[in-house]
Amino acid sequence: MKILSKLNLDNLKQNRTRTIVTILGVAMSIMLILTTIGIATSFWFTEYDSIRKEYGDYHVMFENIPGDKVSILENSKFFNVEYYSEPVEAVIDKDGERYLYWYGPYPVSSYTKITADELKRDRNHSYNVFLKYKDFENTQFADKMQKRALEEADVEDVYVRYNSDLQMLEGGIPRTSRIALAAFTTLVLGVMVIAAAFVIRNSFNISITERVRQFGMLSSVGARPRQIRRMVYMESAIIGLIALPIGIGLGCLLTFGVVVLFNTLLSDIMDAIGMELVFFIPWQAIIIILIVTAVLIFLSAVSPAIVAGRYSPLSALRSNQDIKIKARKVRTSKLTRKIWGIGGVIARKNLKRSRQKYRTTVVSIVLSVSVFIGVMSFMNYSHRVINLFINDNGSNFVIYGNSNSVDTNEIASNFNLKEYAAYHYISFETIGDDNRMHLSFTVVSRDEFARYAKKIGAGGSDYSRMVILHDNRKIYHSDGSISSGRSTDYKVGDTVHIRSVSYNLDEEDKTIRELIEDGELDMDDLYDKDAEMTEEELAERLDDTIRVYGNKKYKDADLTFTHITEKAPLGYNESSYSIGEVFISEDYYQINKIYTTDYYTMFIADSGVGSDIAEFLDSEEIVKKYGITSYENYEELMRVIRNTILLIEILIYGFIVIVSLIGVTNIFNTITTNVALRAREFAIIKSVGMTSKEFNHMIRLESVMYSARALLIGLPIGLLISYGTFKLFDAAGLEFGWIIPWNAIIISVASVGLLVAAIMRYSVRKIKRQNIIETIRSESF
Amino acid sequence: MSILKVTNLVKTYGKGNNLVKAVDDVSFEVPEGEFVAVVGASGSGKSTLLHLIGGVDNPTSGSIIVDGEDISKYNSDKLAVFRREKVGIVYQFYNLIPVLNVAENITLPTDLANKKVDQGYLKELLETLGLADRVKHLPNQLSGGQQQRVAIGRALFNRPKLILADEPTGNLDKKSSDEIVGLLKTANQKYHQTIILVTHDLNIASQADRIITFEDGKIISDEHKATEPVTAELGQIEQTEMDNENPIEA
Repeated sequence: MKILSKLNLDNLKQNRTRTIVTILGVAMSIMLILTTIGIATSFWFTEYDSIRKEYGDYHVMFENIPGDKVSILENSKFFNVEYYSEPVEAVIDKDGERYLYWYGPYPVSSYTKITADELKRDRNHSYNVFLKYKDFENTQFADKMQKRALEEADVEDVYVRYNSDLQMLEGGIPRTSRIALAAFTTLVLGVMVIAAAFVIRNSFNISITERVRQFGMLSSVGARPRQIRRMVYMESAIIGLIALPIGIGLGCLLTFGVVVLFNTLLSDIMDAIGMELVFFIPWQAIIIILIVTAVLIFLSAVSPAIVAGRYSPLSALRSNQDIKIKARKVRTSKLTRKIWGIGGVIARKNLKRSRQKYRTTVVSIVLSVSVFIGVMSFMNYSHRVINLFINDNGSNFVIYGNSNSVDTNEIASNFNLKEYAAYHYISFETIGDDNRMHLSFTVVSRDEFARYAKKIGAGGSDYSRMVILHDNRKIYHSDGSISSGRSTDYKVGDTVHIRSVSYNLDEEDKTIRELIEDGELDMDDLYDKDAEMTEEELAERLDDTIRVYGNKKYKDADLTFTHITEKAPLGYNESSYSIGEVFISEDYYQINKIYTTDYYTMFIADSGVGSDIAEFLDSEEIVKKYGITSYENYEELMRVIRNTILLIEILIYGFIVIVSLIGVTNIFNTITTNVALRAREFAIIKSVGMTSKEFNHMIRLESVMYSARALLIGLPIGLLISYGTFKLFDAAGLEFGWIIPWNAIIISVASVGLLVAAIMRYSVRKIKRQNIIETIRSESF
Repeated sequence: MSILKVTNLVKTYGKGNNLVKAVDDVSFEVPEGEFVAVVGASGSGKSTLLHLIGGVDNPTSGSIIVDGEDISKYNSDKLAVFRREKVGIVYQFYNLIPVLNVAENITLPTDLANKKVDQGYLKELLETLGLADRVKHLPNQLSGGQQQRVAIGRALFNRPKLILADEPTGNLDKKSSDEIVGLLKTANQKYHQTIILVTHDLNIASQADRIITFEDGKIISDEHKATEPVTAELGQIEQTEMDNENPIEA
């Protein structure tokens, strides 16, 4: 027996590269499974632990139970007592805020745990009792029965608080949900486990095919099938023993990496919630994976072992491994000969012969390529959608306010802002010309106006006389492209009239006479229709005062366009959604002849000041002073959105990459073994007179044909998936055309081509170095 | 006209204490059209000599001139071209490309040289070889004898000047062996191709015009058939009568 073990080990050592690659493949499969589980358990644990720390480790709490009746709960059929506490007077939440009335479970900061020994079991003392369900079957029934038990024991006003979040996290969810969750988990993990099984079994199959002669020879000298099978099992054990710890180690590492990545990219959100994702993999999970994978590896070795045991002594004598080639199977057309030459013919025939052996690798390439293309398509569309909704107008922070006495320059100097703009809007009513209605009119803060003028090439001019029309509209085309153009016919020199309105919100007393003069009231409004009024009575009424407010005042103004541009100032999109915007400086020479509203917006483009400004604006004093109605920290918002997308992309693409790498190990082993088995064949061809150049050409052709075949299946499937994602977005109502994912296609083709070529080059180089006759006569396996 | 001239040929393996002289300063000439048998015990170096002449192995020193070309200095590419034009080699086993059928295997050297296949000659050759009804068969569908016949067909097809055969009958029964040797003789007599046949079977060797005996890397005798009989040092080899009905399935 020992000699067979030695033979095994020697074999593994001799095929060092293949052994290492197999171990890597198995380890990565394990890593993938563990990481998926690890991410889920980390999320679960983070939530679970934070709830436990915030509210306590229990499911149900019975409140204010008299000391002499506590034993009823201690002897409950449905519950286990976890701990007790004194009655809670006031609730203190985790921020230290104090409340008298509270709904739901008490925060841990509101009470102190008491043990059973510290209880005073008499009527004068009451306690809160914290319990956990013995099992989650029909918790409602348990609650009801327990309440009844207490009531029957004359406990009045039984009040129960539920720590339902913790209960759910510990598995106390409705049975249907539990089944659904279990089914989903089983599905996802099942797929992974089956895929891993394929990879592992394929590796073993490759290994035994390479050793047919060896096994046959052992059989011919008297090794029993059982002994040979044991050799295969032993090899699987060795591989498993090395791959498992590596896989589990890598899995833990990768999970940890994902946790760190998550916390880094989404630090804004995490800080806001005050929480952090915690790395957690329960040892039970590791044990389960260990057992499952060990079983898997063993099972994967069963059929190869049986096949190996069946190799007859005759196999040792045969020089060809594949006895069963049929002439029809390797038939090639005359066209092949004409196009590719004899080298191509041999390459093509070899591929046809090995079709079955290569099947797993073709499947793995097809899978990787099609999923990659599909996912990239999906990401492309998602990006476009998000870009639609994000107005990147260059500002990182926006303040909205309503005040007639605001000096935004103060805020600017407070924070040393370099790029900011404040806009006061002009509200107006029409006096005739229709077109004006669609324009908006805005007063721009001094500094920004100067910058804007410079931007459109009018810097240094007299800003007080400039009126700039920004007219640039976005046009969406059905192929997904966007262009811009004008929406008005205005030219430089055209003049528009506006009636600017001031909404005076101050209250004042006005006489009716004044109101009639101002046009606010009509003479007809005065008359009481049914009564008759004398002239004196009318005169009296005219002197009556009414408290009025919201009095509108008007100022008419003429604005003559001095510049028309497609560029926009800070805070405005280059392409606007409305028809056009008119901008004048706060130094406009007729500014006193125009009313502006109190509404203003301040755009700040400086970065990194967001949180400071936000803090500044949080004080009541400042809010009042500047009339702040709201503000937006876009910088932070954008960062969060971008980082979230980045995180999702990293996870998805990372997953695809790892799955592809596992496939690569498979392809590597298949091709290298296949080539190694053909070493003598290649030597014969060379001995009959093929030059190195022709030989390399033949090998290259084989690589190309092989890659092409796999891609010919994978690309269409990928495009199909891509089309499917397009349909998905189309159904959601977004008007893009189907965008062919050229970048994904190019990457796929290049990767597959390079990979296969590289592997074949590597496999062949050992043969190239060897002498022809040595190869033909070699007995190596 | 010498088709082959070997001068001071040496082939060694290993170093120092492990130095093995497979071919130890061998020189001889072969005129065109001769049928030469090279005999010797196992490990005498005769196969190595053949491989050196055929350009599938590189000499340590010395020169090999085949049809005016000194191949001892050739690089592997030039040797490849040489092999498909000037030489046909038949080995003891594993001669054929498994995915090519009989015809394709035979025409392989011609295809590699990118020359047009002489269909007439192919047909004739297939008839001579007795393979006419198995043209489209793959090697795994042929018996050992049939495979060797294909190998010989391949060696002959490009009409090389020199044919080298390394124990071509070693794997075959008597009937097949006789057939193979007969074919070689036909090639020699009908097409005037020079044959160098390596064998340890003295009966086969006796069918050649000339017998060169090898021992420990050196030529210890070189006799033409008409003159002396084979030296007795090598002893007798018994012939076993085998059942000729079922050829060995390889």
